[in-house]
Amino acid sequence: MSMFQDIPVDVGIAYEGERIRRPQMYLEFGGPKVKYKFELARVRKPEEVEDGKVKIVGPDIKDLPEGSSVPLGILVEVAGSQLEEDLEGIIERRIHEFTNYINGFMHLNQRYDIWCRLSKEAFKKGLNSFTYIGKVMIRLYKADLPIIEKIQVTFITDPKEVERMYHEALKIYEARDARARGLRDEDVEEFYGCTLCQSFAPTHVCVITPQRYANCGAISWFDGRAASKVDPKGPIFRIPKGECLDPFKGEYSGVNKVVQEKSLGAIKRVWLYTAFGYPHTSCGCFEAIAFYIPEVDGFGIVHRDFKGPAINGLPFSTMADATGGGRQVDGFHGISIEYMRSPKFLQVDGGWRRVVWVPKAVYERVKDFIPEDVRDKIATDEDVKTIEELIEFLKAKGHPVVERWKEKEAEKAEAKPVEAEAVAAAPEAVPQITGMTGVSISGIPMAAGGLRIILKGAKIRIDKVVIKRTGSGGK
Amino acid sequence: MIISVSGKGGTGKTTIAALILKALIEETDKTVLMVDADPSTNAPIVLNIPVEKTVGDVVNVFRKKVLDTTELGLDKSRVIETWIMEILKETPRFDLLAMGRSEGEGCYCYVNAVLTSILDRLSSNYDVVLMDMEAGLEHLSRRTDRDVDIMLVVTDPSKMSLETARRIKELIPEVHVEVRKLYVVGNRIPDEDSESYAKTVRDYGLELAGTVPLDPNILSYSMKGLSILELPDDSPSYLAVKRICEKVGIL
Repeated sequence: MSMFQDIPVDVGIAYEGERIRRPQMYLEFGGPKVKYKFELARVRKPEEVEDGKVKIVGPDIKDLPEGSSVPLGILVEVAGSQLEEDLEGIIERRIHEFTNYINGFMHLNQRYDIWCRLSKEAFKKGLNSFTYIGKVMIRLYKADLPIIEKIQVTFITDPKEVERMYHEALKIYEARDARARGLRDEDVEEFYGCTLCQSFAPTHVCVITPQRYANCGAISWFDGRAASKVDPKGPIFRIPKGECLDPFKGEYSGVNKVVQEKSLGAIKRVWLYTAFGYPHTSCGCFEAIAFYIPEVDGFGIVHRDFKGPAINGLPFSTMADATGGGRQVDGFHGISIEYMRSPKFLQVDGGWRRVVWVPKAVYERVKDFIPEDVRDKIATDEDVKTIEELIEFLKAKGHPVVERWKEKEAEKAEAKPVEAEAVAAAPEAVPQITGMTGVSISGIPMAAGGLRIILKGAKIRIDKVVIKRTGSGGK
Repeated sequence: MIISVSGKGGTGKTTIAALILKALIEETDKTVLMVDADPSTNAPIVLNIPVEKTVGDVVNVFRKKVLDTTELGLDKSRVIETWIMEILKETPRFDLLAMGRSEGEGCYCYVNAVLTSILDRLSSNYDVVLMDMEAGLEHLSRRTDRDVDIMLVVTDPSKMSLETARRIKELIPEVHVEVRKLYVVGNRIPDEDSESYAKTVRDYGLELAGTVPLDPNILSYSMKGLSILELPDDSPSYLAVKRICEKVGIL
């Protein structure tokens, strides 16, 4: 690249995956042998940034003894009329990419855990100062992100200064994460999709939004963005949101379109924030299941590591069979732990105010995100063992679902009973077990539009189930 | 060049892989990444390089700690990449990575996808990647072997080991793994039986790269816990492996 003629080594994308082995290494910065290291991007006022400046605080490369492991801080300061603090994370992530373009320079990881190596060969060729690395970064930043009007880069190797700034940086990362957690689905232009699980759930498409983490708990919206950028045609891809058809249920035209394509037509609509109607499909990887409990018109949650039966008498594995496989199953919903921390968590169904039972282990992980008014009203496996005990617990604590029972009781009193036993639940939804073959039902209480079917210890294979509401006497 | 050494358990494939490594170190200037892809992790013992952590261990910690992180701004694939660099055993002439095994239930889709791209990128930094594969055939169906230039299947005088070799050859096209060349290496075959063994191998529809005789040095080195790499250069097994390497184009 001609823009790097004054740099003693080659610069280019071809060097991105370059690893420098210890025997080839001249110097190491950060990494496991060094306690304090960091990299940080900050958006500054224009007058605070000297454009093009590379500063070095502490000894430069040529002043450091060969073979040593050195503390390092990299500070990128930028200014621009369009730049906002929210972009700091994005800018900071590019440090990794840009420094890796330098032949003979390796950069790993991020934030407070960076690990760099400079090769003997690069040093011999004259790469003996951070000035070169800084110049490369500045030019690549400006070429790639025109939004940056002014940029300066500082390399800190003075151990005391690295340590001082490290502690400051930690606070900045933390504040940034808190803001990221505040990012709403409404705030972004695109979501991300993941089809990594299609090998065993061929119709499953995970829709990853800022407020709905991937079911497996592994991929955040930020991870989706990073992965789709690296390999746009890969298994993690962009989903332009399109038109918002229903902000409360979380239905987007773009999501419907992509899910339909990627599920080969099997799934046509998705409501992101509910377990009924057109729920997000469940793969096989979900960290937990939100399962509807008809007896109390509420949700239980069971996670993968939970041993023994959940409050409805079924172990995780049994419910997982009924939930997974890329289907939309009413009342059995595969979710991640992180989604439970989202304000959009099952918001259509009532969110945490509809959850009645969670294993203690899950409760501990998410309790700070449960609305205060219901936080101590949700039972755990330590509180109750049976549905009867659960009902008593909910009544005693005054859980919000108890109000629902009363409303339903009142409705029931007005209405004449139909042929089947009316269930308090009756969520306004159509059963979605359609078009699937080999649906297995093994002792699972199914909430299906005003009917309660309880199969105990039964093994039935059904090719097709048609459940129709008969007559007009229901409601 | 990617070389994979596989074969039925107990045939001595880790020893053969170590002898190939020795030949690469002593006869060439090539940089080598040795991957111990056998969950029983024998290569560190044979090479006398203590390995504290395997990729499996890293994945387990990653799944427990990083996947449920509150650090939303973190690029998780960079974390696991760094941890793999940390457990890589770096020696002057070669690096050693032990795969181990990961435990527990749950989703590995994302982790495996990330892992594959990291290992691909790491491998591209070496002239030679030498893989000591798992005994049996699991690695083929799990596709941990991908695009191998030379696959050596180690056999011994037993019929079972040759059966395994034949099954491996049959499975390769089924699982869409590209193996450019597949040879059998007959281990613990006395030199005088070498010719008759070659015929047996041919009868199985396989090609013999050569045989390696029983070598008392190997036994005494492994009993003393010494590295196979330190084996005297005139050891019969090493001389045989060197000949094999020349024949198949490793040297």
